[in-house]
Amino acid sequence: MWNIYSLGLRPLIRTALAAAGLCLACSSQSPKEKLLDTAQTASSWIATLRMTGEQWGANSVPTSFVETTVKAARSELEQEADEAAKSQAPPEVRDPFRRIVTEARDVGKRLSQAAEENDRPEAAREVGRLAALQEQLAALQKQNGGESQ
Amino acid sequence: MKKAATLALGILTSVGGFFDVGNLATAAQAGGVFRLQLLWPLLLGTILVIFLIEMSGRFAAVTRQALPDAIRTHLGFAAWLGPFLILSLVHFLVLGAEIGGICFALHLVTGLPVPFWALPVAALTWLFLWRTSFSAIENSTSLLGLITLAFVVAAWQHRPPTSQILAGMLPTLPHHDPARYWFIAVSLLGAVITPYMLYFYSSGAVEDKWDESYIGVNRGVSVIGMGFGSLISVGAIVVAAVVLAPRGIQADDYHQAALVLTTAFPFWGFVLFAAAMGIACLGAATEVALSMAYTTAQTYGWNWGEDLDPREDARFCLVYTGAILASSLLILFGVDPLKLTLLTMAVNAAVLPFVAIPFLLLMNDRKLLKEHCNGWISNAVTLLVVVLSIVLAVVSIPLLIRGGS
Amino acid sequence: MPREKGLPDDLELARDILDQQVVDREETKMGRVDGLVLELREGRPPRIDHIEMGAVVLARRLSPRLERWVDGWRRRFGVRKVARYKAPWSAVLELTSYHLKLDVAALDTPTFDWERWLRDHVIQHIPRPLKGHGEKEEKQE
Repeated sequence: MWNIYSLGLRPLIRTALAAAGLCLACSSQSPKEKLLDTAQTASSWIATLRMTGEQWGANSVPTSFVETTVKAARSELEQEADEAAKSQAPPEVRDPFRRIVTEARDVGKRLSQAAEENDRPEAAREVGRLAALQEQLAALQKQNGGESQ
Repeated sequence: MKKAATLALGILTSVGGFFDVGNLATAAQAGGVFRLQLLWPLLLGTILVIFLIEMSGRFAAVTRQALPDAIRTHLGFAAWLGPFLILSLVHFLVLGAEIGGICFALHLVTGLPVPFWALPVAALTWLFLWRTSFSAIENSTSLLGLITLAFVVAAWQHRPPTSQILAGMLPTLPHHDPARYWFIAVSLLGAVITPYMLYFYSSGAVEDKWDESYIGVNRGVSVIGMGFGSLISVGAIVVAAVVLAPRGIQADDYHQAALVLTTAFPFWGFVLFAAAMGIACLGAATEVALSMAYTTAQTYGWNWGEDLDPREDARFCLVYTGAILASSLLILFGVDPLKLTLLTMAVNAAVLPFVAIPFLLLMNDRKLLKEHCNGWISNAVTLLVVVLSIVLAVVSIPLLIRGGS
Repeated sequence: MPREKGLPDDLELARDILDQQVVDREETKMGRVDGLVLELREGRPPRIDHIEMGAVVLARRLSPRLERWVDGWRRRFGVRKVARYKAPWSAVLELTSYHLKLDVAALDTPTFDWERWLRDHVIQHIPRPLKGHGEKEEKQE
């Protein structure tokens, strides 16, 4: 009788795994490239914080959303700071990146507090700081040949 | 007259039921990172899924058998066991992703953590299945699901350049991040051609007691319903491309995706997003849980039917109860709902050959379908799905290992 | 034995009978033809003696080791009293392309042991849903 198992899937799986291994081997990045990838994610999170702050100011998102988004962003940014700390990338890239990320975490925290206290002028100031950090990070990426969107 | 009503309702329900957590997550990612460049997997997926859904409905209308039932009967238990186990895994993952979506929508509204909602949402989904009949479930969630049209309205308000939309419909190579590009392309396809839907649709047709006279209705529902349904995904890609991409936001997390409607609809955008996500995922979660129960009951020949009293199909009810509980544990133990969704969509695409090949064999069985057998176009399309998904599986497995982020 | 018109005369054991849906007199789905047992007769063609139903029968088709494992599991935790439900071919009322009807009541057979157990121990304790009840009454009208 016709049987799906008679097709012999084992060689197929083995080939797929081999292909996967090959891809992993080919795609090894230099520490600097890896750091620039991390910077991309960090930049996305800083932009998220900024937009969240702006939309809160425009009454488009509730305060609880600011709080939870800041929480999510801070934990992501912390991971990126840790990765940067361990990175073998040249210090002239690594150190400014770490500074920007650490600062963004602090600004996020203050944004969340401002929203909680319904302090609109303070929230707007934090949004401005996030915009500045975003620009600094974009400049850093550009200098080092990374793509900034 | 009754046929016209069935057709209208069928179209509405498939438009409302089209969009789910997989479409949302993949569309937000695609638009956020590659703007309108990844519209083509959506277009391709929609064309392919229209054919597959039409075949699945036609099969059920002609033979009065749902697919899992027919595959076990005619190809035998040994041939069905592999696809059945794979389908069960896919059901489990998709159900987890949908439950995660409902939990996240509630998290948006209440601010309470996502895992907190896992068990209440599981209970709600279960209660819904326990208390209502098949048509009530399908009609209520799918009609409410029309709220997802908010994405189309928002996209319209942003008026993206038509030339860019048309350009995005043609496949192109990525300018940056090729690994990510292909991973999102695979996930988009997996989100449109969900394997469970093929099987679920035929069980639904049997529950609705379709016969040969429904072949025309079936064609209309699959072409128009799926076609318009995919417009919602196009809308979601467009809003993500217009709102998130220029700001440099990549939608790696649902918090980021939640911002997409806030610029088109100040104040209401956030609420609309939460409502659309919650309702679309609830509708899909009930479908997936039912689909799991249909597939299992048909595999073993148990009594099945959502319209029966649970005392007449206790085992059927046990399956959906267990599936909901097991999948909600994923969310309870803190699996990230968006990462789970993206992984699941890639798995969906990778397992397509296993679920499409037995389906193709049956669709060409003259003894069963007589003059309603597949024509060469349907066969060519199904073969294309099989070949494409094998290629995609080979591409997506390494990408999965790399984390897909 | 009455047969559906569309069913061809050349029935294939594996394709048309093995794995077919089994229903009882009332058309309640009670399981599938998990196994077929033939009787070999001297000088005459073999004849189907009975059909077998049960997870153990199914497991045997995959491997004898799996069969032992499933049977051990059934003995320890199962509520089903006999591993294999055997229905003689003479009890077959009807064979169509989509089911095989037996002249039995599903509830009285071991195939419904689990169904009965779940009903008495679980379903009974949960408040009854709205569905099912009303529709049945409609049908009777």
